[in-house]
Amino acid sequence: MTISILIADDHAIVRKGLTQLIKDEFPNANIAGVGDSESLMSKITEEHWDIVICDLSMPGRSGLDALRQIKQIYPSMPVLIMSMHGEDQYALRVLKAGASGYLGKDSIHEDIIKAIRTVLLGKRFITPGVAEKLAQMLEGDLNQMPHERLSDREFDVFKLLAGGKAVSDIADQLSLSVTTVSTYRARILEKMNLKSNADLTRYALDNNLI
Amino acid sequence: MLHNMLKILIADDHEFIRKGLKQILIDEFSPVHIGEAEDTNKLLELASMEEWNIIISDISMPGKGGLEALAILKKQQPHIPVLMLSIYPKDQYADNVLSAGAAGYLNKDSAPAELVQAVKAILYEGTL
Repeated sequence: MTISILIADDHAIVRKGLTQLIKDEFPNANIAGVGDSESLMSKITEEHWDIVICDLSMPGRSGLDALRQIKQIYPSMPVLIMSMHGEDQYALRVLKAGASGYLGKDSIHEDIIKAIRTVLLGKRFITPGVAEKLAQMLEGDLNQMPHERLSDREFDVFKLLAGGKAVSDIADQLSLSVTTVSTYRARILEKMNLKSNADLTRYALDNNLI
Repeated sequence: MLHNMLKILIADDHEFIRKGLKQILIDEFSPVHIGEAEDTNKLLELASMEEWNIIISDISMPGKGGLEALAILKKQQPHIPVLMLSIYPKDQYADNVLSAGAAGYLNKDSAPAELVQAVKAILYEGTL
């Protein structure tokens, strides 16, 4: 069977390595790589792909944005999201946004082939770590952390604010107006019951979010 | 021929990163003998077993960590150049790494061409 896989990651070394890993298992696979979300969205329309493997953090629009857009245009296209930074807090978000699986950097070489096989059968690939998170979520919203009340976009803005980025820089990076980002900031502080950017930073550090 | 073949030792705890590095190096330098280490213990072991032309090592690895391994390598085999790789921006680590004896420092964001360029500069000119 020939499978076609499109890989999006801004690191050429990662693209090469993943391609090699996949080729070891599927020698006839047709594999292409792109370095950002924009190229991903254009390449995806050029031919038929069985699976898209996409990094979460890329320059410009994030992998989460790309995922949402792909699912809008091709709802049945399986998309595996990988994160190079072990950002576990994104696992549930990407699954909610329609991803077929979430792969952390540390286990990607073990998981990627299993994930591809699972996804080709039309199923989702869930690692034990993600399953544990899902189980925790089922325990109810009672134990919900303040940052888990944020929408995906609010969470993106929260992380940038907590990382010390100015509102104007965030507006630039996310292609939003300064007013919109300020509105997000106000909503984030309200939802999390915090008062300042310093509070956000402290919260993010305490909870290993940055 | 064989004893003249270029020998490169790469160390990174992620298999897919090693695969990527290896492919880039083979594409450019073939025929080349490439050794792989997944942690600093293996790196130090392999480094002492064969005569390598260059070592390419990640900074953050399980075991001793890349910087400590670099210090040991520089003590045991000071003549083998070591190119350090990291996911961190250059300005954050480069000074430490270079003063610890590395021949060069590259961010993992670098394009394959930059990696090849760096390896060539170190191999043929002795410096990056």
